[in-house]
Formats: sequence, structure tokens, C-alpha cells
Amino acid sequence: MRDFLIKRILQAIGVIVCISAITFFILNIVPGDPVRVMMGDMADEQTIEQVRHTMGLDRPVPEQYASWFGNMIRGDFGTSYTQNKSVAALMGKAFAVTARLAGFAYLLALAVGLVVGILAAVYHGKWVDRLLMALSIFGISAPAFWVAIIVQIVFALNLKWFPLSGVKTPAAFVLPVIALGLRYAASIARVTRTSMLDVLNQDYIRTAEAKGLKRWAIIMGHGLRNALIPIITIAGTQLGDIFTGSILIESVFAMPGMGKLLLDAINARDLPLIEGGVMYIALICVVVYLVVDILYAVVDPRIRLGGGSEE
Amino acid sequence: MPKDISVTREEGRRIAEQAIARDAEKEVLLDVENLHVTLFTEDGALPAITDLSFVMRRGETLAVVGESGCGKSMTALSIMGLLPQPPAKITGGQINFDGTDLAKLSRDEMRAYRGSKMGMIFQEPMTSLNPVMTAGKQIREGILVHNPKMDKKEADARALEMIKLVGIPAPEKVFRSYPHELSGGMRQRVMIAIALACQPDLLICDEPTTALDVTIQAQILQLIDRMKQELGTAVMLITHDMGVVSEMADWVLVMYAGHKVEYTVSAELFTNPKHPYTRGLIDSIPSLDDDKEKLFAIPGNVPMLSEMPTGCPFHPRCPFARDICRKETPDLLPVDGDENHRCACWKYTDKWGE
Repeated sequence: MRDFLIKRILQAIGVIVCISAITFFILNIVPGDPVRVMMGDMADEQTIEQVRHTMGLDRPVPEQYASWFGNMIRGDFGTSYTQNKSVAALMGKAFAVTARLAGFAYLLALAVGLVVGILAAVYHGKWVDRLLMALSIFGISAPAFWVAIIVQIVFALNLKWFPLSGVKTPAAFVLPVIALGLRYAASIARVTRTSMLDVLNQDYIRTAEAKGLKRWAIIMGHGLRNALIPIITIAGTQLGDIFTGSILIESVFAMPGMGKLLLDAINARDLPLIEGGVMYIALICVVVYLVVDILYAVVDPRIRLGGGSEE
Repeated sequence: MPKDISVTREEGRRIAEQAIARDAEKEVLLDVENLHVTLFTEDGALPAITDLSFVMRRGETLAVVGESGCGKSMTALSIMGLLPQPPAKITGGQINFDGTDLAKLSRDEMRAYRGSKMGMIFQEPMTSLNPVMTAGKQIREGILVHNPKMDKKEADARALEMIKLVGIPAPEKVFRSYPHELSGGMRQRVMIAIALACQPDLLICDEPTTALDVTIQAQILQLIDRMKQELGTAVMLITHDMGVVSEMADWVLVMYAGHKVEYTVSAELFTNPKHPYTRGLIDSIPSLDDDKEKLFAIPGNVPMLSEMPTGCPFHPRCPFARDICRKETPDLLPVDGDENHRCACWKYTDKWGE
């Protein structure tokens, strides 16, 4: 188990390094000169050259990369061209918003998805199952921005239960969290149902019944534990998704999160901010997959490589 | 594996009479009367078990024999209250277990019996254990649910005791092992430990050795037999291996397509088989002495429940079938007036000659 962990963490670091190199070089190839965007149309060539030199953009690309990477490891992502503030500070502020939005949406999706999925599997073929699965199809197919607008109209404009937009109060997060979490809840519910149905037909469930265990003790103790393996796969990739994909909801609800920050950075060719943003996405994905792999091993003893009965 | 079943008719008779005499002293544990189980499917209601009756006494072994699809497992699941519902349902008869009619109990009321008064082990030890739970925990679980006052430590000690009892080497290690770390034979021993953890009166073994290596089969059967002696458990052994039957059984119930076709003590069955199906099963045992080129097999297959023939269900495969077999279902009647040997075949009735 320890060897497995060390190997996986080293792999994760390798992935981060590769992604940082690829993004840095690609961003230097794509057309669009950040200095020209920054200075506007009125600047003369000499000023532009001078600015370029101060920013170090006239140095060879590998050299730029080396110094950028070195700084990044120390937590310094450089300074935003457009906002003249440190990228780390800008991202930290935006991440606080996104983390709350995506984090709560994810918890909501997990809780609702698991409960709905288990109920649908246990009452397989009954009306409970049909109703829940019809709702889940709706949840998956309804576009997030549409759901966002609908909940805004109903709960903010008409009922006035929650603020329409912004991030000033905790209540302001309720609607975006629901709008963002709905589709993830629906797809977790569907995976949970399928996986539970498969597991509940296994021989060991019959063994548990033959022991005289209570129905729900069997469903939760023997069923869910085994059903979790495919659920973790889906739920893991969704965690990456929800953090990096909350941009749409952030726009609809005018929330100053990572999505908005990145979008503005791309429009302005704000290289340090874009690079910082890509590294943020990469880091989230890498960490999530690492956690998923570790969770697999926790849930399923057969995956504990080289471990076994001593674990 | 078959014991020497070439004993003479007289010897068989003598052994059978001794067995019956021993039996009469034992208390009746399970009395199944006129059990009917029906499968409600899209094709209509299909009779999975038709009018099944038999008796089990404390501490005796009853072998239930027949090919796949004859209703053996259905019988076991009916007693355990584990019939897959839907589609299966008990539609008639009684299952009297120690004075209670189990057929009348709900699945939830049956919970008090499952695991505590009756245990069951299944054909597939590879898939019958929960892969993400240690063997010890799986044994402990059953003990805890039927002994609510017991704490985990006591239950652990009891589980470990069971692991030792079923002859597992390095019991502490196996207690902490996951099923995938154990061999098939070890897993089946763990299954037996689970089934016997609460010292049930009845142990149902549904083809317990079919999925195991031949060398392990004998060990598991010996273990079941030893448990029966030590704990006084009655054993219902479901099998299609006549060798196993001759080795283990006190009584034998031969089933065909959900019907009971012959029912008697083991020694009598092997020396005086009556029903053509029973004879076919016995003749199918390969023998080392014979110089036969080809192994004997009963021609044809067990009928699908949806295509059940009229009359005797065995007649399409029976070498002796006559008109009456095709038209009417034979009753289960004593053979030569012997109440302890019953057979459902027209051949042994007065109507045969007509």
C-alpha cells in the first residue's frame, strides 16, 4: 500500500510538470501578442519593445519557462498583465468563491444521488424507481444555464426566497449550488442504481440473507460497499468536472469565481493568469484522480497492491 | 468416490431395516406436506414444485437428487424462505419446522429462523462470500444478529472458534483474510462456519462440492458429515452425484421436474431402485470395473417448466413408457407394500398390465 501510494504521487507530479510545459509552450505559439493587447493600438513600436523587454518576453521560450516554473514551485505565478496584481492573489480570491459553489454542489449531488440511486435499486421496477429515474433523466438532459435561469425566475424573482445573484450572503449560494449540482446528482443516481442492482443480485447477498440479517443491513452493509467501486469512478471524474466546469453557473449568477477570472484572462491574452488557471485545473484533476485511486484501495481489498491480509 | 454399492439385495435390505429402526427413535424436525411452488412468469403460472412431501428427523441426512432444473434448489429456498419473489411463490402446502408452519411466515418473520435455526451453504464458494469483508467479520455478523446481547469481542471469539471447528489451518490469519486470499475449499469451509455459527438444527447444502476440485470435494463432504455428528445437525444435501449420495445419505428423495418420484432409505435405493429415472441416475455412475466404451446417459433433457408433458413427467425419456404414462400422472405409492419405499411409477401398479 505504501509503495503504491509513493508510485502514484510521483506519477501525479510527473503529470503536473508535463502539463505545465505543454501549456506554456502552446500559449507562446498561439497568435496574439499580449503586449499589444495590453498597450492598445496607440503605442509605438519602441515602447512595445521596451515593455516586452521589461516583462522578459524577449528571452528564449525555454528560458522563460524555466524561470516561470521555478517561481511557480515557490507559489509565485507571476503578475497579471491586465490587473497588475499577483496571479496567486487573484486566483486565491476567485477560488474561495468557486470552492464554496462547487464544493456544496458536489456534496449535494453526492447525497441526493446516492439516496435516490439506492432507493431506485431497492424498489426496482416499482413506481418509486420509475418516478426517480424519470426525474434523473430530466436532471441529466436539462442544460445547466436553463436550470439556473428557471430557479432564478421562480425562487429569486417570484418567491423572493433567495438573492438573484452575487456572493454577498450565504443565501446567495443556494440557487447556484442547486443549479450546478442537479445534473451531477442525476448521473450519480443513475450509476448508483445500476451498480446496486448488479450487486443486489450477487450470490453473497443471498448468503447475507441466509444469515438472517435485516434487509437494510444487507443493502447498506453488503450491497452499497460493493456498489461503491463504479460509483467512485464516476463521482471522482465529476469532482474534477464540477470544479472546472462551474463557469457557466458563475456567469449566470454573476459570481467572481475561477471561471470568470479565466475567461477574462483568455480574452485579454493575460498569459500568467491563463497559465495559472490551467495549472489550477490540472492540479484539481490530478489530485482528484489520486484520491479516487486511494479510495478504490480503501473500498476494495482486492486492489490493495502487494498489501493483503495485513492491511 | 462411490462406496461399494454392489452389495447384494439382501444386505441392502438388512442395512435399510436397521436404518429405519434407528430413525424411528429420532424426533421429527422438518415435515414438508404437499408443497406447491409456482413461478409467475410472462408465459403464465408454471409449476416449479408439485405436491412435494417429505420428513427430516434430527441429526439425519436427506439427499435430494435429480438433474439440474428438477426443483431441488427451489425446495431448499422454500424452506429457507429465500425464494426469489417475484417470480416464485409458495402456492400450497405446509413446511412444518419444529412445530411452526414456515410457509405461513412473512419473509421478515423468517429472519429469526434463517441463520439461527437453519443455515445454508451454496454451490459457488467463489461468489457466495462478500469480496470486501474479511472472513471473520462475515462469520461474526450472523452471530451478532441472532445474539443481540453479545458484544463484538465475544462474537469474534465465537467466530474464531467456528473457523477452528471447520478445520481451517492458521485460523487467526484466515479470520483477517478477505475471500480472494482464500482457496475454493477454504472459502467453502468459511461458508460452513457461517452456516453453523449459531448451531442450527438444519443445514441445507446446495451442491456444496460441485464447484470444487475433486481432491477437495471429499474433504468438504467429510467435514459436513463430522459437523452433523458433533453438532447433531440435520443435513439436507442437494446433489446430482449419486456417489455422494451413497456416501452421505440416510434417506434419499429423487426429484424430477418438480415432482417427487422416489423416496426411501439410501441402502434400499441403491440395492432396489424402482423408478426408471432413479435407475438411470444410478446407471450413469461411471464404474472402473466395466470395460464399457461409452458412458451411460439418460437420453433427452429435463422438460422446460413451460413445456411440461402430460401424464408422468418422465415419460418422454422413459424406455418403458406406455399409453397410461402419457395420459395420467402416477401417484406416489408404497413399493411392494413397503411404507418406507415409495415410488411414482405406473410400472409397479395394477394398472400396468391392463
